[in-house]
Parts: sequence; structure tokens; C-alpha cells
Amino acid sequence: MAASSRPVTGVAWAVLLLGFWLWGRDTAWGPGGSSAPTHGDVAAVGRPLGVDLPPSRAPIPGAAEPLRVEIPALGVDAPVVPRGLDSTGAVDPPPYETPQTVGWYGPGTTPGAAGPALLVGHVDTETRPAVFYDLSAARPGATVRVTRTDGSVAVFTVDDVRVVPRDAFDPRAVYGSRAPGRAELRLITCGGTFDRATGLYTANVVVSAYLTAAE
Amino acid sequence: MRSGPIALRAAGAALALVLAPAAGTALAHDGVQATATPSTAAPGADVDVRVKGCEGTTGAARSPAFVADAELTGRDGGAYALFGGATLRTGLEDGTYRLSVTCDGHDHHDVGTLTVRRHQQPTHRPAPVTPVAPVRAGGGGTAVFAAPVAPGVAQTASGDGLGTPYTLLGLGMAGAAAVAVAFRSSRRRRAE
Repeated sequence: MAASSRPVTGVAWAVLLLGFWLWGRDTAWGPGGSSAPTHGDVAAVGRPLGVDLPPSRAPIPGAAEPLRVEIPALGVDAPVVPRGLDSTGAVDPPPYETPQTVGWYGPGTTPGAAGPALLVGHVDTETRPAVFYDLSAARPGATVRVTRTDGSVAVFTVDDVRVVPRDAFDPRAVYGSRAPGRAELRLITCGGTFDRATGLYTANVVVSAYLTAAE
Repeated sequence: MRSGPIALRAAGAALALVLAPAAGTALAHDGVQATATPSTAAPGADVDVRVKGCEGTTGAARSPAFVADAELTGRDGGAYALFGGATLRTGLEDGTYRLSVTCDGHDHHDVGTLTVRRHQQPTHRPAPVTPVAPVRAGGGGTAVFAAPVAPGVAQTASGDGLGTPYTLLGLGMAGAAAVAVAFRSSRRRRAE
């Protein structure tokens, strides 16, 4: 082989391999390997493949209301305000004028008590990201800290992240308890694609967590 | 005992007796009571009016909330109620409005109330008490053609992976490299 052709051959092989990798990645990597939540039916993102989750902790006594929520892995540190239902029967997030505030469904379970505590925040406003913009990047094993009015901190561990389409929405799975007697947390925002005709996102991102510590 | 203090006390008692009926309950004047059904209605709605305590067979119910007086009719005798209907004015402010009744030749003021509330839920579809619907929590400001469902990762509508442009790029690069290698190989063979 002539000396001048070696580098060219090497480059050609590198380009060939890179090309096959780019092409093959699109066809070979399905929901199990992709790091991003997918469209369509309920897709469980990042299901722990051998990730050890800590045991759940007994619920914290008392019904102190939440004041702040922190998700260190996502850089979320926000105040929490009680909210009710909107006219469609969904938990009403705080108004767009306060896009960095998280809403808690007040008539429901408080974080740390047995049952599912519901926290809802905007993914964005009409012009910029909002408090739960990064929520879909949460992964099992991440911690969520909720500070309560009695000074206690309920620490939850994420065990599920899913994208639920609006037209295949099961309220019992999203808003209901997943294991009886367990203190649970749901963090919900919008996801999917944004339909400009209706002004709505096509899905909800639902992060589920359960109580693992109290401070 | 002096007569002065007794007279004063008697006058005071008489005054109290005279004033008492006027200061009595606003809702039962001489035993006449009016109720509207529904007791809370939206502007422009129809309400039924039922009046108890009138002796005669006719009467009228009035209210600032009514478009016109409600004509009341019923059976003779105090044991029977009079009935009528009225339409509420449109453009009413929310609040409580008094009902007054004329029957047996007398006006009976403030013998009932009705509440006006706009934008009511229809009674056959009660508001949900638990969350049942997906949340509306995004204004779309960060959405481009398709909203990124994970930060920094653009998603096409067709599914996961990098998308069609990268697929074509990958195929093109592989093809160009294969052609280059084949071309170089054929040139080498001819040169030898």
C-alpha cells in the first residue's frame, strides 16, 4: 500500500463508521435506550434497569401544608401555593403571572401524608420557560424535597416518569395512589407537542415519587 | 307609689308594643312568607314563587330582581299557598334581593329573599370534587414546530431518535466513504 493512501484510507473508514452509526442509531434505539420520553401511548422513560430505589418511609404525622419544593437534580427551588380545580376538573396551576410558583392541590393529600400529593407547575408561558420546564428530565432515584409549614422536610425519591397523552388520560393512574398507605408525590406539567390551534400541549408529563426520608 | 314612674313605665311598654311588630323578623310579616325556587338563580332565569299566609286566592309578588310582578293564584283559605312565576332581569348584580307580597289588600314587605349569581353550574352536572382531567400548564412559548419533550432534544412528530435529516446524512456519509474506499482500491490495483 502506498504511504500517501494510508491517511485517506483511515479517514474513509472513520467516515464510513460514523455514517453507519448515525444511520443505525435512528433505527436501532427504541424507547428502552433513548434518553427522551416518546410520543404516542404511555411511554415509561428511564425505567430503572437495576437502579436500586430506597425503601419507603412511613408517612409523616400531621397535615402541615407545603411551603417550598426543591428538585436538586433539576435546579428547581420554588414556593408552593394551594390551588383548586379548574373548570375542566384538572388541578389548576398558579397563574401565568407567577410562572416560577408551583401549585399544590389543597383539598387533596399534603406532601408527607399517606396518599398522593399533587404538585402542578407550568412548563412554559407564552414567551419563556417556567418552573417545571426541566421536569421531563427527572429520572428514577432523584430526590424531591418538600418543606412544610411545621418545619419538617419530606424527602421523596422519584420512581417513575411518564408522558401521558391528553386523549388517553387515566386520572386514576395520574392522580390516584399507586401503593396503599404510602406517602406519594406527583409532579405534573405539560408536555408532548404544542397545538397552536387549541393553545394546548398534547400531553402531561407526570413524575411520581414516594416518601423515603423526613427531616 | 307615685303615678309618674308608673306612667313612664306604661308608656315605655306601650311604645315597645307598638314598635315590636315593625322591628320583628323581616321574613315573616303577619305570617306571610315568600320563597323563590330556585332560591339562587342567574339573571334572566325564571323562578317560581310560593307564598304562605295569605287568606285570599290572588296576590302579587314583587322584587327589584323581577322583570314584572309575579301574579299569584291559589285556593281560598289561609292554609293554602299562592303560586306564581317571575323572570329575573338580565344584567343583575350578584347579591340578595328582597321579595314583597301584596295580598288580602295589604302590602307585606320583605317577606322573602332570593339570591342572584351569574355563571352557575347546571344542577344536572355537578362540579367534579376530585381531579379528573389533564392539567393545562403551558403557554407554548418554548415550543418550536414540535415542543421538546426533554430539554435540549428536538423531537420530530414521527418518533424518537435524531430524525430524518440525520438519517440521510448518515447514509450519505457511509455511501461516500464506501465509494472512496472502492475507488482507492481500484486505483491501487491498476497502479501495481
